[in-house]
Amino acid sequence: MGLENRLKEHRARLGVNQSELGRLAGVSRQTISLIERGDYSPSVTLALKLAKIFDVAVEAIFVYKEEEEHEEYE
Amino acid sequence: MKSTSKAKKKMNSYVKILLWMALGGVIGGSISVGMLMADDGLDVVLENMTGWIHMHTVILLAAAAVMALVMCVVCYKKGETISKQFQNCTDDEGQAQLDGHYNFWSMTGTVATTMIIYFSLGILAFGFRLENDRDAMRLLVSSALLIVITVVCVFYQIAVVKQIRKKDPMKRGDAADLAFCKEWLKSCDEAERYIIYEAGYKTYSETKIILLAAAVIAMTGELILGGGLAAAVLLLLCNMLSTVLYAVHSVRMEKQRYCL
Repeated sequence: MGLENRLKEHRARLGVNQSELGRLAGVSRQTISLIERGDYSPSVTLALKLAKIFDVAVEAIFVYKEEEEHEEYE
Repeated sequence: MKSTSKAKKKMNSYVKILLWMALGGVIGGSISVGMLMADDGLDVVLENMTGWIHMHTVILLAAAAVMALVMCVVCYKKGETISKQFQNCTDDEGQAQLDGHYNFWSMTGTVATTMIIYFSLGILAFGFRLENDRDAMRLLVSSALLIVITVVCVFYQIAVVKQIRKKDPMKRGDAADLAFCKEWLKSCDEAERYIIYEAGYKTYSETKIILLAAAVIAMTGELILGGGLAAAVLLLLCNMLSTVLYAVHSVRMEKQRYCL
């Protein structure tokens, strides 16, 4: 995926569960769960919204990591 | 080198498609030979099966009606219980588990009721034979049963949508409304839309193959058993229509402001 996140830590710091965070961000609990598990990369709008909720920069929650290329050359 | 690898990949694709075609030919040929060998026997079996379903249309539809009612009540009640548990649950893992259970029951109910409606329609088709008064009465009762089944199943689906909306207040749309799909999609968040789009595209791709396979089976059936090419033509028309509709929607989407 290439996008790592620290959403769970920030959520714990704020003291809200996935449903409550979902309500604050205008998304479902399942979406928050998918993002936390790294199964879904949020849109820029949602990432900014989450950063605003936690009052931190987007980079403090989401970190882009370059994926290793596995293509073999003969 | 990279170019050699690309050329190899390209060649592999051509070989792959030829192998797929060969496999299709082998399967089609085997089915045709099998059907030709069992020609007389198959005719009799199909005739007997059609006759049996025609004679038992009312009983089969009554059974389908009972099944629809049981499925609707069980799935709805299960959903109601899980929804109540969900309201009282605050931890993430518990909610995730309850969500999974709820999705299972609502999906089971929705798929089952839709399948029952199509199954009943198929059964009713066998009842379309008006040779005497008994046949007419059978058709009348069968039609009434089909209406009952449809009403029960549709009411269940409307109730489930209301149940989901109660559980998740962000969801919008009335299942009885013609613009339901549009409203529902609007109320879904970006991850839900992504899942809907991906599932929709996969369904489109698989339906194309299924329709094509069904058309080939219908053509083979016509060749061996007779009965007209209407089924094959309809299936091919459906396939063509879905391809055209997909292209139209793709072009339209490209022109629109695209945002998940």
